Amino acid sequence: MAYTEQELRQMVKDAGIRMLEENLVQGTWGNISVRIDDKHALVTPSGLDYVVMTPDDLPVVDIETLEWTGPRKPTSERKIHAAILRARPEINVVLHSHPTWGATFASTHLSLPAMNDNMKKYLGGDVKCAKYGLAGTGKLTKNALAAIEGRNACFLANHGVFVCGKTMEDAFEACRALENGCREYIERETVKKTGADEYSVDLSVEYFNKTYKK
Amino acid sequence: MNAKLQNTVVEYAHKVFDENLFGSNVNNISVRATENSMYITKSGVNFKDLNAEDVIEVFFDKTDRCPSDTLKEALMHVKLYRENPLTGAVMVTSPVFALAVANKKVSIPPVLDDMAQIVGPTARTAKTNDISGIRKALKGRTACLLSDIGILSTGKTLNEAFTSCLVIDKAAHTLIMSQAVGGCKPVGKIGALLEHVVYMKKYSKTNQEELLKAERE
Repeated sequence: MAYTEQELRQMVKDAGIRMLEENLVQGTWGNISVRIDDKHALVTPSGLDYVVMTPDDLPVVDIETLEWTGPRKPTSERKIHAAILRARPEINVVLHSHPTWGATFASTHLSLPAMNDNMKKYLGGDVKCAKYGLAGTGKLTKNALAAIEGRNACFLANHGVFVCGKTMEDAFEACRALENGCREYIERETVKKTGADEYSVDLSVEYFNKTYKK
Repeated sequence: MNAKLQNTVVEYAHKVFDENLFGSNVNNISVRATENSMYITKSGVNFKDLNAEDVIEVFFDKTDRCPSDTLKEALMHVKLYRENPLTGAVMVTSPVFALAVANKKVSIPPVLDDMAQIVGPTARTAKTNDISGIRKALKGRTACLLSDIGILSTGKTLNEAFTSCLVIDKAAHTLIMSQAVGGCKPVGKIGALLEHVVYMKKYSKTNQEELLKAERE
C-alpha cells in the first residue's frame, strides 16, 4: 500500500471509529493492525477507546520479534496480528472484532459453511473456529493461525472474529460478509427447527423458551 | 446544578436508544454528582426525546423531594450508590434479548469472554425490588438481570455501565440465537473468572480514568 506512515495512522484511527459505528466492537474491544513494511505494523493500543485514541497513540510493532516502540503499549492480541502478517505477505490489514452475529456463532465452536458469494469472494469459503484460549496467550495465537490458514477469516471460540484483507476496504467487506453469513445461517436453522414459514426474532425467543435448559 | 453531567446523561440516554437497549419497561440512567447526590432521568420518558430538563438532581438524604413518578426507581439507585462509594453510574434498561432471558429467570453463563471480562463470570438474575437479592446478584459483578425488567448495570463511569449493558444484551442474544444451531459452549468457570480478574486489574483502569475526566470536566 502506497501510504505514508502518518496516512496509515489516520486510516487506523478512522477504522476504529467505523468499527464502533458499525457496532463491530464495544468500548475498548477489538483491535486493528496495518502493515507498514515487511517487518513492521501499526497496531492499536491496549485498553484505549477508539474515540479517545489519536493517530499518534499507535505503537509500531516488529512482526518478527513483537518488540514495539511508541507512547502506548500495543494490544495483547498483537501476537495474532503479527502471526497473520508474517504468514501472509499479501495481507496488509488485520481486524479483530466482536460483532453480534459473529460472536454468537463463535460461542457454538462450529464452522460456518460458505453462505453467499461475498463469503466466497472476501473470505475464501467456509470459516473455521479456533479453539478457546485466554486472550494474549501463545495457545490462542497457534489456534487462530491454524483456523485462518487458506482463508481470510476465522472465529475465536467464545470471543469474536479475525478477518484480514489486502486493503482496509477488503477487510471491512470481509467483516460484513462474515456477519451476514452468520446471521443467514442461524435464521435458516431457526426456520428449519421450528417449521415456520419465515424467520422473525420472536421465533428465536419462542424456540429458546421452549428448549433452553440451565 | 451541574449542566455538564446532566448533558452527559442525556448523551448516554440517546446512546441507549440508538443501540436498541431502551425497551418497553423501566428505563433509568443515573450518575453520581457528589458523595450525597445523583442526577437521574425521570421515569416514563422515552430516551429518544430525552433532554436536560428530564434529568433531575436527587439528594440521598432528601429523597422526599424526588418527584413521585420517579421515586421508586430513584430509591433503588440511591441504595446502590450508598452501598458502594466507587459506583459512579447506574443504568436500568429493558432490551429485548436480556429481558427474554430475565423473564425465564436463568443466569447467562460465560458464553462470550467480553461479558466475562467486563461484567463477571455470569450475569445472574435477581427479582426486581429485592435489594438483598440484587446485592447478591451483583457480588463480584458490574451488572445483573432484573426479572420482568431487563438489565441493571453499574460502573465507575457512564461509559462503563453502558458497556456492561451492551455486552450483557449481546450475551443474551448469543444464548437465545445459538439454540437453533445446537447451543453455546460456555467458557469454563475458572477461565471466566480469570478473564474478569485480569480485565479489572489490567485493562479497565487506564481507559476509565480518561473517560471519567471526559464525562465530568
